[in-house]
Amino acid sequence: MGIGRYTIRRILQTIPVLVGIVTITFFLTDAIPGDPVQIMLGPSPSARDIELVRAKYGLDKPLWVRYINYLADVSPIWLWPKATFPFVELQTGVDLGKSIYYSVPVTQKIMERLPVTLLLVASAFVFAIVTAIPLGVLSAKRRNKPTDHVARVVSLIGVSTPSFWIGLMLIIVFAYHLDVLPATGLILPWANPAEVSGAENRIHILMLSFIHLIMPTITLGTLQMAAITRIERSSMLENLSEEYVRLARAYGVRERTILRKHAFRPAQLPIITIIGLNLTAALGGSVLTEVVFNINGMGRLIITAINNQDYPLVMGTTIYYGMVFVIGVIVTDISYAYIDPRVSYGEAEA
Amino acid sequence: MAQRDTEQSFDESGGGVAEEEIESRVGLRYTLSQVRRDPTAMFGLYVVGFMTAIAIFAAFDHYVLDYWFAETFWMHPHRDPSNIQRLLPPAWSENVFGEGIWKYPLGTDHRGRDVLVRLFYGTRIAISVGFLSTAIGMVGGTIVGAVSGYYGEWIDDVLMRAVETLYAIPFLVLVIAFMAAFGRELVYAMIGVGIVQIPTFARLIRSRVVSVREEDYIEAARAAGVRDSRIILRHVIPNSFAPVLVQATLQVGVAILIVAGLSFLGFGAQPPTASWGQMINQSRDSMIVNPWFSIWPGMAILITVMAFNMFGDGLRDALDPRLQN
Repeated sequence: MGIGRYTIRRILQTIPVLVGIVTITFFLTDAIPGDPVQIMLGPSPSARDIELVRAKYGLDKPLWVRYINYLADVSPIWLWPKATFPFVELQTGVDLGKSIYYSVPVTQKIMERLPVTLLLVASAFVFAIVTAIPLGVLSAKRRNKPTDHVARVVSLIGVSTPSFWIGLMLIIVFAYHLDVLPATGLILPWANPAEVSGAENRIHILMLSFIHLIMPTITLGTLQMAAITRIERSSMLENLSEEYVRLARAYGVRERTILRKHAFRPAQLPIITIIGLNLTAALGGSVLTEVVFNINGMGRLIITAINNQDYPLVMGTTIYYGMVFVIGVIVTDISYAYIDPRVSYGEAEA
Repeated sequence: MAQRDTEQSFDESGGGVAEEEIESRVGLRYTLSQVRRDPTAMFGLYVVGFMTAIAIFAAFDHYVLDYWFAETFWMHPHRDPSNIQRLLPPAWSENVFGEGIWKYPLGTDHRGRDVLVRLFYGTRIAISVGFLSTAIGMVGGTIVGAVSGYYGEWIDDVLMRAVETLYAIPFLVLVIAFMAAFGRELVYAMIGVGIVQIPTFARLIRSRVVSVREEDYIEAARAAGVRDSRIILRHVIPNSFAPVLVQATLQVGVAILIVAGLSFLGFGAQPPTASWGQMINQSRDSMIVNPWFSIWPGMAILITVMAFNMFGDGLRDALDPRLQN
């Protein structure tokens, strides 16, 4: 199978997963106790109002009808053409309904918040990779020496520390005691300078954005850093014990060259997989990070939605979380296939 | 997603060892003797034992001691409300609320309760939820993974897609949604965290079962007419279980972290029951004036999770001879 077909197959494979995500989300959300209509209309609504609102949101229909409808509504997520034969109309918009709490379309609310969360997760991974790879390589190179021990202790502590606690400790030290970093909020690097106080031009915005990102990035990235360091170390050790490394040594190739050319490159492959798989942990962790630093991202959105029993919003955010992960995994899987010529495009399975 | 497993090291465990050596190397006694030689793993085990002992003690101590009021004392008739000392620092330091006293070695919280006693009570939540939710995940994941790997074909496809779906929604988001649907009590946190662990175990055991099912003894059992359910329970699972056990040890730590995060967000043990994540949340209002109240519960989580990781790593090294040196 060629790489093109592999890519297509990989994308098709996600359809059942996406349907599964919608299904789980729909039935979980349906089980949330409390009547959203009651919340919307206040303490003592008239029976007519209730009826009207129920009809407006389609809540008067039986569960399975609502499920099918919802599935059909969100289907454009997968660019499923809404068929109106004989003409096929491609619909790119996604209809996730209207948020009860914010009274705006769910998609609009999510599109406001999603970039913040993605920025946070991306910068956490950049931080993790930039610190973990040198640490892991060094650790493998100086195996069982003090450097290695330090690196291993650091990664052990990293995987064992609750991220939100790291965030609070950082706030105590850097925001309150040293007063060098802001304790709350996040400024997007592409924000409009006119709307941000204390910023006049793009450079200011970028600087502010960077300063605001430092602590949340460390908070969210530490766990990933530790996990990647561990994988990098064991992957490097594995590659350093390969036959071709031994051969290169026997030929008298310099240790530095071996490390760089023979061991380092193949050792990076597992890292790609780990990043894809850990995306789900990082997205979950971003909920905590956003709460600690009062960042208005997807995480705080879903907490608000749950606390206010905003059904459509809970469903929408959960589905988007799932989608981000699925897309992330596809991207890593496909890039893996491009980078590693040995990948047998799935036939090896089972 | 199912193409490659993160737990690659298990896929080929034993691969580098000669056939006859395996027999002597996979026994439980051998593994334990290896772990016993690993000081880090043993240290982890001791800490785990210590924490578990505290947890068990905290679960019963209201029959023995009168400490239970540390949890609910706000209403306690025996305490004089005028004598409450809020946010005291540890005994050896002082802050704006006064000097620390040895009556409260680690200081007091925002309601004047002893932080050390509440840490002890928090152990009960962390350990019990950690173990029980991991048990749920392990049993569920083992069954799903073994069935999936043993039967293969469409059963495998269906189950693995379901597992991927569970994995695709971030753990924390899924558990929060689950708890919003069923209730914010601790028992749902336990079940929810158990469910989100199913994918990890299912994939791990499936990757082993796929090779185990080709073994001669499975073929023999099948030829002898043994029922599939019996083959899976008696032969397939026991022969694929070693990496699951290692993963379970590590997962207890992960579960404790997830539960701490949930409690921090207000999902989990509800006040006045003490839990570490909730203590950290309660400390947020006072973390400038009394940072110690924030520090202690975090340290408790760190030490406990680290102990599980140390023991789990040691167990893995002992079970996977390839990694030993």
